[in-house]
Amino acid sequence: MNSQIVLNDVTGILKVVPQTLGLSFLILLFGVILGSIFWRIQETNNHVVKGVYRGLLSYFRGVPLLIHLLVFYYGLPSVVKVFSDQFNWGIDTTHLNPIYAVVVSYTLYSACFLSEIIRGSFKSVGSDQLEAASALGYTHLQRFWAIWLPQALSDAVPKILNYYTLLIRQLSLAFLVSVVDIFAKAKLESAGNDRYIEAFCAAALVYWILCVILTAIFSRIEKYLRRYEGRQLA
Amino acid sequence: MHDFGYVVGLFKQLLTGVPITLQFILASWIIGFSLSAFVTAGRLSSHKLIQYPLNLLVSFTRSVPIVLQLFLVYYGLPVLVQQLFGLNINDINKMVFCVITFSIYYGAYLSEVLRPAYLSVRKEQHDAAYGLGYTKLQTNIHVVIPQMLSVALPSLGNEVINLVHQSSILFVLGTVDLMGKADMIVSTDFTSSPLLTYFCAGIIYWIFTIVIMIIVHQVEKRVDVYKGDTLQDGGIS
Repeated sequence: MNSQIVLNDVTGILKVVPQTLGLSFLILLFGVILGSIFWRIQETNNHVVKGVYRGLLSYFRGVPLLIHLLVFYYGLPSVVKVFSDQFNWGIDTTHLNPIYAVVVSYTLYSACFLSEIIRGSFKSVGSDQLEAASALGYTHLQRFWAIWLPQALSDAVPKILNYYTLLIRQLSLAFLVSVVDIFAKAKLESAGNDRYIEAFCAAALVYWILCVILTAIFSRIEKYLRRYEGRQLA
Repeated sequence: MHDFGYVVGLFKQLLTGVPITLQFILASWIIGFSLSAFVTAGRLSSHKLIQYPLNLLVSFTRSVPIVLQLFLVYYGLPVLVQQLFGLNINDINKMVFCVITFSIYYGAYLSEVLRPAYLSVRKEQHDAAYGLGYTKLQTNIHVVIPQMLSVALPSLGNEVINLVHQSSILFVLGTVDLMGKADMIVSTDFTSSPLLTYFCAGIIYWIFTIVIMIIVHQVEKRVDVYKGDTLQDGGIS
């Protein structure tokens, strides 16, 4: 162990932290949007749609993320090629940036989990709240924006933020398709001088500190969001 | 395009990796779960000297990606053992390092499931048991643990599935488990389609997941017999 090399690696790794955080945030954002759509789909009464959705959900939750990533990495260019040829977009599919495969596979995967979080949060709002809103003469739209959504969000946001830290860790698999995040950067750092242990220790340190800081921030947000909790149920 | 016979052959090739994956899962789960019982007990104890290091360990394993932990153990442990005991363990089977990594990971991680489950059993249950003359150990074995099981089981089931999924990362070290086989097919046979190979491996993992879910569901039904009154009034949140 050479502490000088660890320090060098840490400074090298710190440069990719913003893009790791950014990419995770992008995936989270898409995941939440798609997850909300999934939640609405699940509420429909159409049995065919529901059946297809169940099958897809089971597939995405039953297969490891790693395989989703590789399947999309090899499969996405041909899918894009079909559309590109159809509409003359002229996209160069042979050199498709692997980051698209990461974003698409991670978004679909996390949307399946996030839709469950979103569903649970909306369900956790008592029906008495909604009935009270109706009794006060709120329209459906008003009821959703003023009563249902705020209460559901105060339950969902902490869980979604928690998922964000999970995403940062899961993004470490992206080195397989040569997308550079914290872990991939550590591998690159060690490739130059063959000092694997130092580089991995540096990466572990960065992850650890990052997660501790994020968790601390998120728990403050959670506390703030839950400030009405006691009164709400009384 | 590949025909149906090719896909069947592909599955046959992939299935040769399944026993190793299953052995790995079983070994890691048994060791990890046993370890987590000790970790949980240590974290629940009132000794600060036991509590803090364990909390630190849990914080570490929860913050660092499993693939990084795998590399840390794989590259770091031989050096550590070499320096401490002067033993050369470089030639040991890679699977040993994998099992060590996952055992430590789940040993620490599962305590995050078991600890809240233990704490969810109400204080009155302990008091009643003490009142009936149970010792602390007897209270835990006969009263608290049966009740905490029904709370912990759904999460434990999820973690087994998680373990199956995370075991797919082992191939980065060049193991010959299910995912390793898939990777080997892709890298040695240039006529193979990576997409199809990985997808077929995914199907096998999918079947694993479904089977485990069914088993967990059956066990849950069985264990719910011990469900205490902690659950009836929704007091577990």
